Amino acid sequence: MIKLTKSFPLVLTLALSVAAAQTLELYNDKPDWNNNYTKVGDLGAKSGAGFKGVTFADPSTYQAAVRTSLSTSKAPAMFTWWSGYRMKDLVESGTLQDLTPIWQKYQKAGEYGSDLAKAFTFDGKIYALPNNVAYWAVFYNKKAYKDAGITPPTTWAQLESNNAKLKARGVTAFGQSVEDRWPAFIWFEEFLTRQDPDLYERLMVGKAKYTDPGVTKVFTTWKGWMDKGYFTPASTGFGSGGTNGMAKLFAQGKLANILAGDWYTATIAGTGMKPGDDYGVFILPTMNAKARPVIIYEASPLIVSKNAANKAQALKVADFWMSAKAQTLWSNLQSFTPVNNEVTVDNPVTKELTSALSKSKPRLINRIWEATPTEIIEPGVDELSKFMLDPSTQTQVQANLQKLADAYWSKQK
Amino acid sequence: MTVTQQGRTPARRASARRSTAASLAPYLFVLPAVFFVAVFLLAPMLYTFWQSFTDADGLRTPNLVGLRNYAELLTSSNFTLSLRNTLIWVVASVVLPVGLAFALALALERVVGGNFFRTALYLPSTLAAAAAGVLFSFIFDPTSGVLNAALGALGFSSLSQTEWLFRSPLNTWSMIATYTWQSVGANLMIFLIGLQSLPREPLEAAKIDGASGLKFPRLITLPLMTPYVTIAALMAAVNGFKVFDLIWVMTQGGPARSSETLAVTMYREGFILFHQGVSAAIAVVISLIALAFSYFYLRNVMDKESHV
Repeated sequence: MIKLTKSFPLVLTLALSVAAAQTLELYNDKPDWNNNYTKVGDLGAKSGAGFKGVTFADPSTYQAAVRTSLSTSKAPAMFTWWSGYRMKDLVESGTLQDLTPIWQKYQKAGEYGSDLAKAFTFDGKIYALPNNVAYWAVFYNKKAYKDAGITPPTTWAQLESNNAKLKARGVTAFGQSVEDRWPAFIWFEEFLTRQDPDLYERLMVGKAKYTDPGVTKVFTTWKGWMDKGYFTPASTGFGSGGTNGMAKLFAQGKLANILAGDWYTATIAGTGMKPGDDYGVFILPTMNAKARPVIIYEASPLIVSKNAANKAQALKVADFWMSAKAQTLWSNLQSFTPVNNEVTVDNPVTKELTSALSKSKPRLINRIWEATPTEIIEPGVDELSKFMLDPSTQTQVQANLQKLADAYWSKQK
Repeated sequence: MTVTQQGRTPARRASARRSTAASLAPYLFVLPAVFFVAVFLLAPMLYTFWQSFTDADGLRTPNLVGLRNYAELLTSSNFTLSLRNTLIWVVASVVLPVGLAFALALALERVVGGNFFRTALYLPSTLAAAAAGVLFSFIFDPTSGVLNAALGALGFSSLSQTEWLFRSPLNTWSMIATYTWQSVGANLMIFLIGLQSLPREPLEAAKIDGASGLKFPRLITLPLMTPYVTIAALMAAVNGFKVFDLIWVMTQGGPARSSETLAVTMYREGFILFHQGVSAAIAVVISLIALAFSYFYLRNVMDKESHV
């Protein structure tokens, strides 16, 4: 008894250490995905790479918590983040683990293409794993299309004609939203990349201006669609932070299309619509019929902290995360387009999108949220919101956007 | 003599010890409170003040930048808009929840079933501001919200498409209405307690002297209730300066930053853009305004009271 009492703290410490080693925490700001992270972690536990999801409901609280702990030993072992300029800041602080060796192992085995790592590469080193790569496509209501006698468009002219036919039947063609702020950038980047993807790329890195004629044309097209009634009111809830009014309208057949990242299938599923039967997916065509197809992608990274106390375990989990076994479960649980070449998914809409991607081989363009500096696009979405709520502010909005860009780029030269 | 001296010395020492212990005792009692105030209030305040002169970003070691953050604020149009919205909130937070609560307290003293109404009006105060924000976001939703549906059903079809949270300044007023709904109950309780504790004699004397109608509350009840009104108004004003959660949940200060207050701007700068130096500068400005307001308000009220 005495022996047991004396050895109890030691046993408890050992037990807790073992438990801590098995339950590595993966920080994320995605409450809807958290259970699925833990499910993948449970699968990993069978091979000593277990982890559980720890979620934050508010992205800004999440960012503050992660950023302030990164330089300390309390840094989260693994965490989700945003690629591009949002990640650059962390890389430059020297707090992220170089994951190039893990990538090389899986690339050598042919499981991952070389393009994918680009979004996470800084100065030749890869600092993240793919949490997911979302492609931004159009989800369409099959019944609304059938009733209007239309098919998914392959050209811009057909798209415009479809919009007019839907409008004539009292169905709104597309959803747009300023709710939760960030969705305001969706149509700006979509119109611009379909009109002139090179201009978009130049604009993102400060080599073109928001007041250039090409950008003005984008705002004119956008305003034209609003004037023709092809868009929902900008106050329609997108479902990312507040109400999901847009998905409801889509399910009711009052809205024919929603353009969103492929993760939006989970929001549509919440309305009871069946993928494949009730709705399908297509890639928004380019304005120039002869141009190469274009699609916006959003690469979400999974990062390992350099200073985390349990970094060794995190690297083990990172290796497991890249495996076909982990990715098969993750992609199917989330209905994500697979990133590992050996993975297939069951969701028919995801399959349809994967097939469209491999068939049309579109030019992949990074989403504006990651492709341009945070200091421009964060206040920039407020300017775009202003335009969506009152299109007469177009000139002022363009000037303000350029002012934000000038303020940022002038400090970089 | 020696014996006496020896006898007195320990007694004196004991008395001195008791007296020292007695004089130290109050300090020991307040020490825990002082410790917590110093660690959790004064230290963060001083740190924030220092941070307002740096380029802190939460990742790197901050550098001193002098008054640059304050200069940036003064030249920013968004700061001016935030300040204007904050002032609207402060004024409205005092006038509506306090004024309405006072009127309701007077009315509830006289109505049958006052207890039921008191409970009903107090219930929203038990909700967190964030919960009230979520609730009213659904109510104000332009496509599926209860408010627009009710307006449509009542025949106000022109109002049934109103974008309550998407048009400025309507969005600020909609949120103030939510805030009023939520905070009127707490003020109501303060006033009901105040009314019950008023001395009966002056009230009855006034009635005998013929004070009636609006004259009675204006000339008799209100002056007697001044201490309660002072506290309720001061608390409401300070809360108006600090309001954040409700706005963050309902509009995040948008659209296009149109409903931002200083507290929201502070949060955006600090936790979204990670301009923590600028954010600290805004925190200092909010604190100074609230402090100055409280000082002048209380001095003014105290002066008036001393004249009475």
